[in-house]
Amino acid sequence: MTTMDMATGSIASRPQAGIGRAARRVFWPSARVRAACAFLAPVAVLVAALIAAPLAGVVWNSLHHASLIDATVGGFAGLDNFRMVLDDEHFLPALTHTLVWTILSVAGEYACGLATALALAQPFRGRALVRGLIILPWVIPIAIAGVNWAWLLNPDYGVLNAWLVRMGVLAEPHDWLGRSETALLTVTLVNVWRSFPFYTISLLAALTSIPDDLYEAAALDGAGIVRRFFVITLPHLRPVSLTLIVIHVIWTAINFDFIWVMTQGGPLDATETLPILIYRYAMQEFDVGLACALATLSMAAMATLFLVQALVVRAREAR
Amino acid sequence: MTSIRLRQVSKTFGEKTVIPPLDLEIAGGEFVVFVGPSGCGKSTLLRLIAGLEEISGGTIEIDGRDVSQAPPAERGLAMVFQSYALYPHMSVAENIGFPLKMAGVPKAAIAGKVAEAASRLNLTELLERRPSQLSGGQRQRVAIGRAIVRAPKAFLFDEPLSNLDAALRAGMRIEISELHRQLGTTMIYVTHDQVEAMTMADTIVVLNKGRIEQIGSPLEIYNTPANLFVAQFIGSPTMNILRGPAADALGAPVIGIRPEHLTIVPAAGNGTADGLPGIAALSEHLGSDTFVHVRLNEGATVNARVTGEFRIDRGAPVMVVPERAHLHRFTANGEALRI
Ligand SMILES: Nc1ncnc2c1ncn2[C@@H]1O[C@H](COP(=O)(O)OP(=O)(O)O)[C@@H](O)[C@H]1O
Ligand SMILES: [Mg+2]
Repeated sequence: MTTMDMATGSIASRPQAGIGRAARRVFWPSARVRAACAFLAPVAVLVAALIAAPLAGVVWNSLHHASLIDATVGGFAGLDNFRMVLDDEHFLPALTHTLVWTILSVAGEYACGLATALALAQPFRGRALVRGLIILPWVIPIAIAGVNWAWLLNPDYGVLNAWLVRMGVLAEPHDWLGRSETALLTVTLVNVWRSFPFYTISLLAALTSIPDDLYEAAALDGAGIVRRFFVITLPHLRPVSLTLIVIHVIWTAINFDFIWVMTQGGPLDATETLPILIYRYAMQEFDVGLACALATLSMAAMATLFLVQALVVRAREAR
Repeated sequence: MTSIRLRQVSKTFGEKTVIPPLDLEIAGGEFVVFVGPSGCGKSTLLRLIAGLEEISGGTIEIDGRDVSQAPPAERGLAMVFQSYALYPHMSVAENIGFPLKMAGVPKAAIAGKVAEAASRLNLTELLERRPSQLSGGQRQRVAIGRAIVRAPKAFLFDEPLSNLDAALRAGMRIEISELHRQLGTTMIYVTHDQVEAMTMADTIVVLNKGRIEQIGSPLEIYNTPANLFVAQFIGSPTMNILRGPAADALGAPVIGIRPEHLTIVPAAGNGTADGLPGIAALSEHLGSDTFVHVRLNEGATVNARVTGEFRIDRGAPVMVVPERAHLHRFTANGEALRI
């Protein structure tokens, strides 16, 4: 904005160009546009090299036969790869697992994040310390957190099972990650544990920016504490909540490492999500075309979600 | 016509006493202004009355009922904040109607009252807007509208005009006074601006460090300040203070004299007995008045008001003549001496 204004200003204050220069303008973009292009060029190159080219490669591969190990495989495949993905008996379960994993994760993360943010917005002794400690799960590397949870949940020597049995909650240790009924819910819970601090911090920042006198005015106007929450707090949290949820839906739906570290998609594919299926296509079946077709589908879904969010935000801002 | 009575009301924040125990009675229908320097506890006192802060001691009665422990909503008071405190996610109409909605008033009745308040405050065109689309003056009107729709027992204003520019402030001052005249409701108005206090109040309560220095009508406070603090806080420019021999000569350890009660005469050797000799320093020309600062030979500098335009050379020797009838006499520790 400012740079644009400055650029315009400098043109306006420049002495009038002669006829020759005016004629050249017809063929040349204005100085302002040229300046903008010059500034944007480095970023454009970076985006093209690091994002656009790999993405285009994925889409291109999805339309071709390609193998990691067999160089003789090749040629245009049309929509064959997509057809094979959709016909794969793993596809629907993996899609379901992805939806369950994503929706439960984000819902749980939001609930925990909102609850902790509200608690941490209240004044109490040691609040600063708790505010600092609460981000710990989020700063532990995923691989380490995953391995540690797998260890805590282990039926033979896991601390958690030992406690649950001792407290009488369980009759005997349960193999949380090893049983297909509980595996997906367990990895989801661990994911909630890991990700909610990000919500806490973001929501807390939004909460602390709400002026106190809004609550005071509402209290005088006769609004009780619940009403004040819905009339003042929630509307203030709406923009940050929307952003948090959209980026976490995307991050969670494409998450590969957390599940891989804890269960590798097992047992009996009970935790196989789309990213794990993509990995299997590419790294175990060596079928790059198939992997890229599924990746393209997933990418399209995420892009749509992101676009809808952007449109919603823009529509709201236009109001 | 709601009366409010504070008995031995005090407030401490942790170790810090912001309001030592104080008594105050506000008669029904009165326009009371709490005035005092920034940080003297005006807002705290108002918030204690509103119920937004818990009192540390004493009792607060509204119409004879003890409300000391009552939550804000039960006290039946409306407050207008310096920051306006409008609900940003609601339209102007929703903001004004909010207290009625909370009180369970039917929708149709709310709409009627909102329309009435809006037309009174010139907001009819703006009812569908959001607060962010309004100017400061319009926002303050909405805040006032939100206060008047519920027909409260009393209005509390906490520096409502501080965020407005000077011209708007003068206009709003008149509007709020007019509103008080029409409604006749008790109003408590907090300000650090003594012009607002003087022009709007029936009764001024001058506060200093949480203590009440003086209660009285604007002219009482202006003409017979109870002590040096009130004398210097009320009145613009500030009252001149003389101490030492110059004051002794006028009959008190400390003498206060307002700029308009000083006359400047040329020192051309006419030897007026009660004149204080000095040298003219800076002159401030306001058009309607001229304020001449005079450095007295005995050391103090005084400010004298001359009506209309008045020219005097810097450094010219002058005599400053106080009007005897308008001297304010104080003891050495600042209490007014009444004779
Ligand atoms: N919540 C609080 N906690 C601690 N001190 C406070 C609090 N609110 C006000 N104070 C102190 O009380 C004094 C009076 O404040 P306030 O009533 O806001 O003054 P005024 O409105 O006259 O400018 C100030 O010194 C302020 O720092
Ligand atoms: Mg204040």
